[in-house]
Amino acid sequence: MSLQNQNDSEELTLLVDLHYQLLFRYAYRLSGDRADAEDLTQQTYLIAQKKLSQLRDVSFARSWLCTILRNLFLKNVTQKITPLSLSQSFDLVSAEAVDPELTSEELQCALNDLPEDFRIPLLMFYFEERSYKEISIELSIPIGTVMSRLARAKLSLQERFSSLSEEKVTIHS
Amino acid sequence: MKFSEPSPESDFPLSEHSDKGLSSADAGFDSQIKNVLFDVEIPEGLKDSVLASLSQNNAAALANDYAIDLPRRQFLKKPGLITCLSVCLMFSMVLTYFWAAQEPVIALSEFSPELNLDSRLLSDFDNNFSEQFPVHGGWRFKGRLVFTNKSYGISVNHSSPHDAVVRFFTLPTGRAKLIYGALVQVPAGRVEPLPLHAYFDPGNVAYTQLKKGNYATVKWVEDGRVYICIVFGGARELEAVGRALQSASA
Repeated sequence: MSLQNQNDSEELTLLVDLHYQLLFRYAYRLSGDRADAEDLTQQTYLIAQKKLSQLRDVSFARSWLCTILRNLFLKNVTQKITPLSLSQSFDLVSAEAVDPELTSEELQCALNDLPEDFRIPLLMFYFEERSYKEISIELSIPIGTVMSRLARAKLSLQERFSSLSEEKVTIHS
Repeated sequence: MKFSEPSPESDFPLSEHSDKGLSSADAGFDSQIKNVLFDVEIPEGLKDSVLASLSQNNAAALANDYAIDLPRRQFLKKPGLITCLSVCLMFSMVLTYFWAAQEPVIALSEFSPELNLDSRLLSDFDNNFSEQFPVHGGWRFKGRLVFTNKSYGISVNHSSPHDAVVRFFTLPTGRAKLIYGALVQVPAGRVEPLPLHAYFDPGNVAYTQLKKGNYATVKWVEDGRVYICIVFGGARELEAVGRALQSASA
């Protein structure tokens, strides 16, 4: 094994040590499935192994890995995402999601119910710690749209788990 | 309950990753979401399996690199093939050399009295082809023709090697006068077009009048050579040369 390979291997091991838990959590919140999340985490690191030379600064490793993972997830999503039209509304409260207690599973149920257009910016905000501007650039959408989608996503979650969660909530896009 | 578009100013700062604009209740909920979002149980052995797959992938990549490298090594272990390829390469280089060294074809009209046929200004012939006298017409017997001992090289395009070789001759006449002439010869492959005649024929003559004098020129092709006989003078001088050659061959 060459010195370069050895260095890369050590750097990768460090990246795994530091970020594998975050990546798995992010993957789980994106996919809603633990097996898929494991696969996504594995694939993310395999891609990172191939493209390690692109990572010039280790301090950007978190966002770099998260970006790889998100792109992988979006690539693997088989069902076509229907973009929300201005007149479309969606039901935030499913029949089994009435429990106001905010548990991890319930949150995942709520996230699963969120359309991709809302879920992705929300998770980018929390997991990748991206600013609105960065999310806007990454997703190629106007910054105002990022803000409104984040606000609606948060609000819908809040509504779901608030005392008013039993009330039917619809969101206009 | 329906929600309208939130005010960006109230909810979101443009560039900061914070929710400064949120109310304390909202901020509390935000914090709660954040905590719960990260509350995901990590599967046992995930880290080990990731590291194992990375290690496996690395080994596979190295093996792949070796597999790519292997045909090259096998190729280098075949001396016969390398020798064969080397010979082919040498052969093509030799062909290229000869192709590049091929002499350019010179127009027959270039060999005329206008050439600078002054032995003092010409260099010795470089012998890049063999000089030979014409077989027909008594040139080899010379007769009364007196040829110079040296032959000189002519370069039409002032390039080396010489394009033609010239040998000067004199013919003494009865009136104590000399007729001067030159016999130029060029390999037939370097000249285009070739003369129509295959022997020295004084009837097939071209006369030229230049400032330096008059000239009679006879051209013919014989035995792979193009010969140009230039006689300094006119028809009379050429006739005298013709007669001298005829008597020599007889």
